[in-house]
Amino acid sequence: MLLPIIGILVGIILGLTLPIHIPTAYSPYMSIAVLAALDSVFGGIRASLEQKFEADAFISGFFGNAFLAAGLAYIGDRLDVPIYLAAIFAFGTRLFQNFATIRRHLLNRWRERAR
Amino acid sequence: MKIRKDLLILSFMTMLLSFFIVKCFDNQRIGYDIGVTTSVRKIQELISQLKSLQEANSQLKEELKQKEVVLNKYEEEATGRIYRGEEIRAQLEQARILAGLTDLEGPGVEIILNDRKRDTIMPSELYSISDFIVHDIDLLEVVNELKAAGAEAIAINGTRILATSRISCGGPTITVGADQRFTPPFIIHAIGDPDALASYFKRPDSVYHVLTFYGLEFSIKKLDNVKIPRYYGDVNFNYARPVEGGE
Repeated sequence: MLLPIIGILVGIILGLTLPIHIPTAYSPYMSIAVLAALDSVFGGIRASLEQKFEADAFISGFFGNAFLAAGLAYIGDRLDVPIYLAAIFAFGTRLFQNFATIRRHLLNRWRERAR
Repeated sequence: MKIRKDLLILSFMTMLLSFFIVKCFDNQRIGYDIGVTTSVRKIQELISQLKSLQEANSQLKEELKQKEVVLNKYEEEATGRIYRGEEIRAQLEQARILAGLTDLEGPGVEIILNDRKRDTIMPSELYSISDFIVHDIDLLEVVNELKAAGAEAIAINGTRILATSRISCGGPTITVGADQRFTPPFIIHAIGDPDALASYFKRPDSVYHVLTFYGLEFSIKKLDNVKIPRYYGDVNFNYARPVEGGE
């Protein structure tokens, strides 16, 4: 469990130090992509807790969802229809579900250990 | 070992994710699209940027001054060595004044030009709001009258007016010189005979009467000593060149 936390820290440090900037025009799409990626990561954590982790599904889901969400948001912007709401809704709901399952698993584990 | 591989991939992905999240925060912190969303944070960011730029600017000016001291020394040495050096140097100085590259001081006037105060506008007055604000044309006419009255050097809000300076409309601002944008009030300094400069606006067809008729603030003050800063910037001639040989 320590490794993902190290990963987060390394990511934050890299983000703060690397001089890459996302153009402001693309930042709304970036936010949607981040939401999708967040959902994938939560899904991955859940799967690994359930011992059902599949690396290929996880990686393809991470990038695929992110690009799809950003692409939908972009198309929505062009068409003047807020399609990104669909992405927010879908990924947001799943995010909470995944989090609930993770919480359940961790609580169960903790209870078993306490017993 | 299976779980370890999971964690490895997971941690790599969380690294990517947190990287992008940080980048998203980053974007909010440094934003230049003031037209889209202007949060207080963005404004403060811009203010601090402005401050640091102003500091850098004044440092560069200081550096320029030091360099010019050195240049002056070289020129002094050169005047002693070349034939009729003193005369050439005087001419150079004259040319610099003409080009607006020296700080000047002398007697003159200070004109303050400002929009009409909102609360002095009567509802019964049948003029549009556009009549009550200072336009580029007004500023241009004031400068032109100053020139006609014999002003030798003019500056608007500390920006020296050169032969190539423009005064044009920039939407809510007025663009003066190369790229300086100003909002009212406009403080115009001019060096010349104070009486001649001030009395020129007393003529019946002066723009002074037009502007004061509409209630704009227009005050002329005679001063014994007006300081006019030099022009900072380049004057490039890309197309014009001197005629070779002359007539």
